[in-house]
Amino acid sequence: MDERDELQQKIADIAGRYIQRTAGELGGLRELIAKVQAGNSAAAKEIEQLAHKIYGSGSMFGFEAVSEQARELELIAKDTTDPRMADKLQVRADALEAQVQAALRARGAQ
Amino acid sequence: MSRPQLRTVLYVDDEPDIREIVQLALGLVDDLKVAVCESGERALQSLPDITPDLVLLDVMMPGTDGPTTLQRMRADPRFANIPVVFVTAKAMPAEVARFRELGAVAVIAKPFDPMQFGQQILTIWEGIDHGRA
Repeated sequence: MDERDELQQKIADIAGRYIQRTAGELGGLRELIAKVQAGNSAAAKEIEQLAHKIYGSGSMFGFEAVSEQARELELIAKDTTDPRMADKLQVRADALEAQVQAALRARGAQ
Repeated sequence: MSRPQLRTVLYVDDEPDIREIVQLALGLVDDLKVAVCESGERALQSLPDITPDLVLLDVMMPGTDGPTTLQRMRADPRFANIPVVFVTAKAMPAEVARFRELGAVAVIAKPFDPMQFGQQILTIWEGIDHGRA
């Protein structure tokens, strides 16, 4: 195995860690959305940062669908003038979770 | 003026997976030392010790973000001339233009290809006017 093959193998390992960790972060995301629903606007900033992190790394590791949902989540969290933000976040978090679960199943099937 | 060799790069990103990818990717470049920091604040503290030839900054980081880190570098005579490249998922044309106005020598969009990243950095380095930097 040359160093480029080794790099690709390591990237695949890191990608596995990423999607596992992202699955673990969804609970925290739900808690933040609950805070937004309760009127805590600061939680929206935390959602924006978390979603941005998931978005940026997801596309690096080939989890395009996960990345896309996280991007949408980030954009919703950024629009602090939207009175329906909490509802939209909820819907998008469901979609993100579905994509994360699909990615985990796909990796399990490999 | 002859171009100096790129010896040390500092990569700053709050996302540990991406830091690891960058370290691995730049590890393919011969004789290049790669340092990483997890925040803009940490990078600013570490610059005197690391003395990088080139700094790669993520844009959106908690606390001191990439643009603020660049502005603080430019305000400090010790670091004002170190070229900075933004590595970001925020790579829409308007944002790229803003980053260039701030003084970035280049903007690399995420996702990037780790297999090509080292060459990309070397190409940017070769394009820098080192007489002015």
